Amino acid sequence: MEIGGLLEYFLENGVMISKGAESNLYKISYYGKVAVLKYRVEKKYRIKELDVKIRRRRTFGEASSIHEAWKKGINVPRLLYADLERYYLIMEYLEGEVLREAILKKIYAYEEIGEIASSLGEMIANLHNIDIIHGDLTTANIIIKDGLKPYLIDFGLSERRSDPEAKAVDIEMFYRVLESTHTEEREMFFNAFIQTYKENALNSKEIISRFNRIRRMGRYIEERRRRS
Amino acid sequence: MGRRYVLGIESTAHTFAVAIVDDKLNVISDVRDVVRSGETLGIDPKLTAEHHANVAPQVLEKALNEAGMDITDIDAVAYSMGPGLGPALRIGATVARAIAHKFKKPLYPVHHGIGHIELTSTLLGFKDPLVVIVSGGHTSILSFNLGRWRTYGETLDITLGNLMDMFARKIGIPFPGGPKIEEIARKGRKYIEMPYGIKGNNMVYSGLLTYAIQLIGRTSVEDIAYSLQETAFTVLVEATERALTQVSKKEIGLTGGVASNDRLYNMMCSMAREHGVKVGRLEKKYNSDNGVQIAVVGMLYMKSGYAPVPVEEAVIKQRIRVEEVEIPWR
Repeated sequence: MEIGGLLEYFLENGVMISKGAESNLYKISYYGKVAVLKYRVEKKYRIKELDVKIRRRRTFGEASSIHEAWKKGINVPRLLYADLERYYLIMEYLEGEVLREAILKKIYAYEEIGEIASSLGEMIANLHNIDIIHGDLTTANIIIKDGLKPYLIDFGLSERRSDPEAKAVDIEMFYRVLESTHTEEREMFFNAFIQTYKENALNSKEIISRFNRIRRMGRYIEERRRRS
Repeated sequence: MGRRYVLGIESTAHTFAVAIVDDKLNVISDVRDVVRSGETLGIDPKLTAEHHANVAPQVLEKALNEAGMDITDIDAVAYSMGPGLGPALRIGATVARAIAHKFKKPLYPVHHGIGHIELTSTLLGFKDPLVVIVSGGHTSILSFNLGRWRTYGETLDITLGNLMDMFARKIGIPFPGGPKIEEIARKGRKYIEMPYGIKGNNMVYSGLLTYAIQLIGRTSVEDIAYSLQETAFTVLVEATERALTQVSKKEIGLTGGVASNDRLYNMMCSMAREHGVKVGRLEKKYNSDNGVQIAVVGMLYMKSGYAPVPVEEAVIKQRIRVEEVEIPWR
């Protein structure tokens, strides 16, 4: 580790708030404002060449996606600083509820979850309309604040792609999360989500039809037998 | 009550197997017969079913002899209901139904994948693990939540076993090519960047396979094998790490044919150490399909007092997912 670098200064004066799969998050003070520092740490399990490539690509990808989305008025944290040599970003700190836990702990009423799902459908449509694929849509990456407003975080696996297939896969990933983590709410949540997505996404017909096709391609899906 | 015994029959794919376990989940006997794939690419359902039908009587007899038991000493019969090849599954189910009917034994259909999962937990002594199955038929990350085993990540196209075997075949190594690829990869020196397919917690391997195949003849096969392995395993370990941080389990059980690969095992351990999580893998013989995994789940059903299935309702389901199965013993 470098001695006396900017990163070291932030880490020393910050508080670790989470140790994720690919990065550690710290709550820091950035020019007097509360901010989040996201540091992509070295992973000993992967070889050096791959480790460096992954960390650089993700840090850059996240910085550019989040900035693009923010410029278009989509609810994401504002990017404050990026260091591609040391693989860290500094973003605005969003104070709110993580949707995953909020649903599991049943903080919201049924109708409120439906309302969140609707806003989310519109938000993902807007994101896809500027050709950003989030790449890791899960309820753990959604923060609810200012009432029932969803904010999208963690763009580490995001990609810039315009093809309907990539957008359909993005939605399918989200569907899988609902299936495994929010089994009870899945149907209602997804219906509300896809409704507003359809209304707002460009080329939504094509995207939805690909989504349906991908679902059937899943391994060992019962409906597949009824094809033909 | 004396000791109780369940006889398990496996016939999902290549393997026809019969095993007997007792109520402490000890293995009393374990007999298998694997069809030779010969010149065919992959697996021929019809030939496989013929093989299973031919060997079924002697495999069953041998399993009973090894245990020193008579069929009447068995307390219940379990069979692999799917997912798998219809014609092959039907042989196992038919044998199971015949025994259940003739000797009036309770009958339990078992999900093959849940067999792998519960056998892994049982043999490793893990209470509540994240289970990673890496074989020719599966590449999935599973964990128990809300009464069921649920998929937290899986391949979206081909399995890790397929990837290794198909690449092996292209460089002239017969099935199963995985172990040989591991050996060749150890001699690789240069990492060649390859398509890195991760979608959330899920893996995408077909692009990687195509890319690796295209490099054959253009650069050293050792470097290709090394880069292929590093890329494919890094994707899997990353997906596992993502799933792990979501479900916060303290144990990872690695199973399936590719679990025997030391590089993969060491990578998994290195990742887990960072999170204070334990990793275990099964000894080689339990990574391939077997009757023990079916018998163990049958015993878990019986011990939990779950209602057995009437013979006429004992069907096979070629495409059943783990999420569809109720788990009364957890």
